Amino acid sequence: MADFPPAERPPDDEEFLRPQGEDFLLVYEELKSLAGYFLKRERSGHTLQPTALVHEAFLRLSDRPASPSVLQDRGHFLGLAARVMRHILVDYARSRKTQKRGGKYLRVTLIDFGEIAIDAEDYLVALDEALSRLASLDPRQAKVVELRFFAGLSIQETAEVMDLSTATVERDWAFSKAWLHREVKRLGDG
Amino acid sequence: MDKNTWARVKDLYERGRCMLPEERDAWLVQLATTEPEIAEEVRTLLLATADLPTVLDDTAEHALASFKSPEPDLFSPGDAIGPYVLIERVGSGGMGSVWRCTRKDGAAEEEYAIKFVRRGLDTATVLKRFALERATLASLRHPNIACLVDGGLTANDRPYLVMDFVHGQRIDHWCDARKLRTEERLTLFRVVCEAVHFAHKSLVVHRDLKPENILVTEHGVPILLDFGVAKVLDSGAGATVTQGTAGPLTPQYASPEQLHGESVSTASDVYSLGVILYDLLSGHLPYRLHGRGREELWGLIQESNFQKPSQVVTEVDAQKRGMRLEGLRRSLRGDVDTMVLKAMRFEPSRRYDSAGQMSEDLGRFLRGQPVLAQPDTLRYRFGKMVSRNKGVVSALIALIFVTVFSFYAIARQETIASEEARFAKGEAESLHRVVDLLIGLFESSRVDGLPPDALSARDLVDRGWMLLEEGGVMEPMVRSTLLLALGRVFTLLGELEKSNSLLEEGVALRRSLYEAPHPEIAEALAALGALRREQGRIKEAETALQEALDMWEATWGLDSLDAASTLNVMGLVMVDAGNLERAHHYFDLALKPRIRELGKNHSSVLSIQGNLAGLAFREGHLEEAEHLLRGILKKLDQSKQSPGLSIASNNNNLGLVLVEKGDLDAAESCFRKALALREHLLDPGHPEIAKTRNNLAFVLFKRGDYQAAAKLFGRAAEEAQSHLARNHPTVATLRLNQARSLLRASKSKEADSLLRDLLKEQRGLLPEGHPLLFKILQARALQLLDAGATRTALPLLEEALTYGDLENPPSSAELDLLRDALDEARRRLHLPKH
Repeated sequence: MADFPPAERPPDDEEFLRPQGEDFLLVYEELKSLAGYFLKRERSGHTLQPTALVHEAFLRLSDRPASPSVLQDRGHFLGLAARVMRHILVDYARSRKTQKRGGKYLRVTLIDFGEIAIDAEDYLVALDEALSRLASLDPRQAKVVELRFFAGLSIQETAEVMDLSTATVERDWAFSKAWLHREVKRLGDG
Repeated sequence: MDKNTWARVKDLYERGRCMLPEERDAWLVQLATTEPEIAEEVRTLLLATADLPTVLDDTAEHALASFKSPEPDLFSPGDAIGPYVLIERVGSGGMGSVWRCTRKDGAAEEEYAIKFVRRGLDTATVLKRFALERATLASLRHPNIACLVDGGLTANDRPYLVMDFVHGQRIDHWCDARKLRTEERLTLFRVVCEAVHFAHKSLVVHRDLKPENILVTEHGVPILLDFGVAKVLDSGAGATVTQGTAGPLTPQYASPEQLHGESVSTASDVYSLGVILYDLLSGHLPYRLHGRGREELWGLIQESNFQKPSQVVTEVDAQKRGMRLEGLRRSLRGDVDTMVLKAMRFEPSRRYDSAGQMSEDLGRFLRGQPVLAQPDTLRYRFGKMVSRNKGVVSALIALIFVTVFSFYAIARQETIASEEARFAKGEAESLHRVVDLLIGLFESSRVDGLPPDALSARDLVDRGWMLLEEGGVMEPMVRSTLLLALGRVFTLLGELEKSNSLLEEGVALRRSLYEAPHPEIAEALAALGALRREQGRIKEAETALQEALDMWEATWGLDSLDAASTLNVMGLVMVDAGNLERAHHYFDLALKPRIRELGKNHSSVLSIQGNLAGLAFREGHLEEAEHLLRGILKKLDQSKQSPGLSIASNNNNLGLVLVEKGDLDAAESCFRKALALREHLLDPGHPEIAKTRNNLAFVLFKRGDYQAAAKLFGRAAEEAQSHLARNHPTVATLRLNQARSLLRASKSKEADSLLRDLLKEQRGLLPEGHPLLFKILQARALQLLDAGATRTALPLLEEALTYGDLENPPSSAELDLLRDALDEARRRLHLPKH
């Protein structure tokens, strides 16, 4: 067998490691100011899109004279942005809840399960709590939820960002949804 | 819940989710008898799945959509605001609520819209701006523009603006309600363009054009609302948002320069007109803001990312236009697509010069005349892009683009468009993406079946190399990343000397930047190890890779994906070193994280399986090797990515297995397939071509066609030599094979000088004990013996036999043959038997 050159190496497909730049506050500040605007607006026909916000935040940050290091790694940036979106949206939901108790708002019934009606704000706040618990049980799944649900990434994009297969993300997402929903329901029941 | 239970629940949930309901119930009951707690977990989760709310189906945006209930209103019908009396609330805009009202002192039929500016905006600035703009806005008298007539402060200091009230319907709704066809929509839209043009001539830019701001009256007259309002409110918005302009505008219709917070001009309105027309004609926005891959996220406002209007329409859109889908497509395809996209070009200067020009072009189209707008040419865009960009990153972008341009120019227009879009904003984007693309591009160019001359791969990387050689100001981290990226590319290209200097510097730089053990250093060492292997410097490869593995173990763990590629290369090094058992061990370690994270069909999983097949082959498990390789080839054939090079590689290896099995015909066809693919996809003279040619030559050799085989071996050796270092095992192997063929072809003179030189050369190059050195020794000794040069042969035979004491000795048959030869030599020289 030594007559032959060594068994061949098929073209490799290895990835690069990327430096991690930590800049939560920077992204937070930017997204927060944008989200503030979007959330308070009413635009008929178009829903608010977290991806659009994240995109804009990226553009704005990259417009700064010294491009912040957080932009160097897209996956890292999106991960941060998803986390920030979660904070912003849940905070917003909380403040709406408080506001509604005082005002004479019509309760927007979003989801009906059984006898319990929950509205979007309650749901989101409960979801956030459940998600924190999920993160302690399975951090990867919690991250999938953040990217999918709060940053609006598709399965494909989530897979790319997290360096997982789409099948894994789909499984994680399906399971997380069921788990979170069950937990939210339990909260509502209680 | 502990980790194992959690994993078990997940696993069972996944199984249960795929079952039919009746099947599932029985399964759960069964499960409950053995693992009641887990069964309960799984059952409740499956139950929750059954009534998942729609809010979880998509993203948080659905949840947010439901939040959009109106801002608490401080006003009631009948309230007096300055000289106006409120009638009813008609909506709420981005900046606050809007009411229909009349003037106290005016006629009842004279209606106005009064817009209350939301709290939080800087009141003083709004009013100041309004005072400044007031005269201009008041002069804006046009039948298709609702005039801004007044403004002031409410009793509790809330700014308001007053404009003509328009009874009408949003332009897109109006068109859909009447099922207007493409031409009718264009005709109506021309009126909108004319009105915008009129305002522009009065130096008023709208800044927030969108369908909501274009109403059509019952008489079919379009009227534009809110002219100048954005500007008045804008400065107020600046107080809370870093870039004022992005505050009030609607991003879907905003121009790139607005999104960037740059100065706004009439060209920005032209852009918005383009987006509105796109929407109006196709029923879709040019970009959907989620769900379509990363290019979209970063490049969505760049024109090249847009599909043409004709490409996005669906049956539903056609129905809304009273047309058939094909008819709608036909009406948009060509000129209409081009005109819309011209208005939406990324650079203001390349859009229509004015809204008036846009209207004229639409008019020309409606009259069947040739339009001004021409499809955007790539060459033009490229030229612009290069002139716009300066600096290191942009030089890379440019050279990438040159390459993209050269290969895809005709066949792959869309690909270029999206690549360019990704890089049009290159300066601001991360260097890593540039580097990734560089490599991705290079690799994809090899697998896409492009002719080798279209690939200026060497050109591309050489230019990157020059960039590094020139030095200049570059952050050390950036430099180290570039060094590694290009070094790896050169390794892939087989240009090992260049790769060597880059990777050595890269490793040194990373060592100085990070404190070991560190993933960044491990990455660099892994690249260096892979290069060392290609160079045939096996010992050094092992040392570098071992250090890398130690670092992975100390940082992200040996079972991380990152470690997997290092483990894989280490396995290959072990194969080269002849240590098959350790090779097996490394491949197995590398396979686990890849299967776990990437799935069974992922190309990088197949590539390790290919290596395992090679191992099975070397261990003599031919059936297993054949089975593995056929399995891989089947998966590759089904792959959508046309992995030509992997197909070539696996065919080549299958050929090797078939040769061993004695099926020379099948082997030859495998090799020819591999050779054809490689010659097509790789640069001429690439070592992989040489290897395949070697194998084909070997089949000829086996068949007894020694002369042809010698020729092919010789050619392969030359090819390999032009790319590889002289001590590379491949070159030596090829020369050895050539010599053997020459011997068989009875060209003993040529064989003699070839073997003599080869042995002399390789002794200085290959490490002692290298299996290849044994082969050369053996061949040279036997050749000398045959030629009657017994005295010269004797020490070589003795030396070759010492290889029998090594950890991985040559086969006993080979050793026996040598012993016999040694006995023969001693006999000839009248020496006692060993």
